[in-house]
Amino acid sequence: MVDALSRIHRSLRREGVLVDLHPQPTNSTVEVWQEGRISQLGHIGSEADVRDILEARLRLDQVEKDGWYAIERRRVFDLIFHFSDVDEWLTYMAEKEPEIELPEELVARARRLLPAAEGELVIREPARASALRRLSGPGVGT
Amino acid sequence: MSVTIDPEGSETRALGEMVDLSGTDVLEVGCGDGRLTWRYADLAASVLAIDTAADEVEKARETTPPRLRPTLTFEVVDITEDELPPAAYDVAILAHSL
Repeated sequence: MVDALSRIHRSLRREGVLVDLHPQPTNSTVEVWQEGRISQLGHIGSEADVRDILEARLRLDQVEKDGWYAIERRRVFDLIFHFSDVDEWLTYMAEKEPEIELPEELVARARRLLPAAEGELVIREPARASALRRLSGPGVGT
Repeated sequence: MSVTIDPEGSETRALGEMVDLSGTDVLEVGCGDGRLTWRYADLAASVLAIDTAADEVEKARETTPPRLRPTLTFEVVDITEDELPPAAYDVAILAHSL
């Protein structure tokens, strides 16, 4: 079993629950919210992120298949990031998501649409929540 | 830098739909600066929130509301290397960190 999931399994009580919160392996949407109007500017993401997310999903699927956990619930939701201006967003991206290349045209459009202090720049990141019940392990039952 | 993440509470609602945290002992892996932790910690009996990023954990500790200090602990821990107590938690939350 994958190490982190194995350690968590050991630390959970019998019948404990593992909740995984993870982005979906899709790009995020960039929007400008202004006076009740939403303008979609485009999408951002990186192939490396998508690859990491898919690998993480495979690890979760594997421990479930191996009988360490059983999926109980799953749902998707949007995690929404709000920035008051474009520079704030660019600073955040440089610090937290340096591997994501922002298309110049998208940034320029954001600047045109969002003059200072008039609206918000919003990133909508699709995400998935999963609840997995701890089992005793392969062939042991609960 | 100022960013507001999930003021709509979508992630917190999704978490609440996954598991009832009332009175539980929770292990949160990948807590960062505690952004998600604050939103559910009131419900839990105890929370150990861990991350490998010492600066983020320090930020989380500094901003822990006094009412949560008796039951909420932030620690710099690498779950793949450091030992955690066995069979100690009802719920483990993996927050964007697998």
